[in-house]
Amino acid sequence: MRLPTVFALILFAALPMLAHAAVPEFTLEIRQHLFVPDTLTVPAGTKVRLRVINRDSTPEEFESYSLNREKVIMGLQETIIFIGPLAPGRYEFFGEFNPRSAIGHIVAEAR
Amino acid sequence: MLLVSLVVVLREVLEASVILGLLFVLGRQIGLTRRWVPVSLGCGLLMAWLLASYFEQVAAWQDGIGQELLNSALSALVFVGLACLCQWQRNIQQRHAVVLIMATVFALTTTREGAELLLYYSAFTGDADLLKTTLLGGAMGVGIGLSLGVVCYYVLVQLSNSASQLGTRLWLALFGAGMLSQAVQMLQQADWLPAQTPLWSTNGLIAEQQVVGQLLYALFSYEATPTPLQLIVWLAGCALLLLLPISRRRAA
Repeated sequence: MRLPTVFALILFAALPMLAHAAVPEFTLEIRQHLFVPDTLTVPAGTKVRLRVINRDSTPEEFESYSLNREKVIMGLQETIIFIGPLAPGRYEFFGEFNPRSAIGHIVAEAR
Repeated sequence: MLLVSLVVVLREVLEASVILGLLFVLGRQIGLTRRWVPVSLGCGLLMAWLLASYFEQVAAWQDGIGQELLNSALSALVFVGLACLCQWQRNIQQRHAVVLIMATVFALTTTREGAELLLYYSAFTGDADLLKTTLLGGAMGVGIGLSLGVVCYYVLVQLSNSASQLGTRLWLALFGAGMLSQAVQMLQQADWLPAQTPLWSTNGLIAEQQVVGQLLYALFSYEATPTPLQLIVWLAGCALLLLLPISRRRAA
């Protein structure tokens, strides 16, 4: 098992506990299976902290193919999702448990 | 709601079903029984139920990134399990270990996918009609998911012996490497690994949200927009799973 050991060591060595610089934070709410606001404008080219607050009593899964993100948010709970750095553009996200109503976009703008 | 629940359930079941198909082929190649399956499924479902029950507490770990940490750990463990299988596949002395690892890999997959489904269904417990509709959709999703797993199994089994072994190993490598890449994505989402801009996007070619993209995701963890770190780990994982018999021969 020499190879796996080496591999595991490389993997752990690559785990830098980065100091948290000032990351811009944006808030998104889930209400009645809708995202509020449904369009969020964020700066392009930088990491962004997304605070998602679920005001519904039921769980929802924040999901986005273009952002490469998925996370379950339990009813009446909130969570943090880090996204980016994004190239300027429009990125769709949706609630996997209510994909017909819970749809939103993140617009990354160059500043 | 029927279609939505079908898709939600299918997405979760497909991954477990594909890995089960792969494990069956592997077991068949080395003449193992499938007696481990019920126990493994039972353990997986029990752990899924526990995880779903304590999900709020788990999610709150480390300032709200417990979910990412747990998912990446589960994915990484599945990879380690697959690596051990590649290592000991032909070793008669490790037969019990191989069975145990197969059972563990399947139980871990069931835990992750099952917990998400339990959370999904927890939203409908108050509404009998809606619950009925979504359960019906879910049953259809389970049916389709299992059928596709069976298709994977028979595709590999129908091949000639050497082609089947090569195909299984290749598939295991792609699947396992995809698991590692998913683990990296989760850690990047949690900000435990540095955030990175994706290297490219093949969404124009095969969009992840389309049926083909979804299928490729379940079969090989298809990722249309990988970050550099995801790619490196994917390549390393793939290489390791393909090379492992060589290191076994050297050790022998």
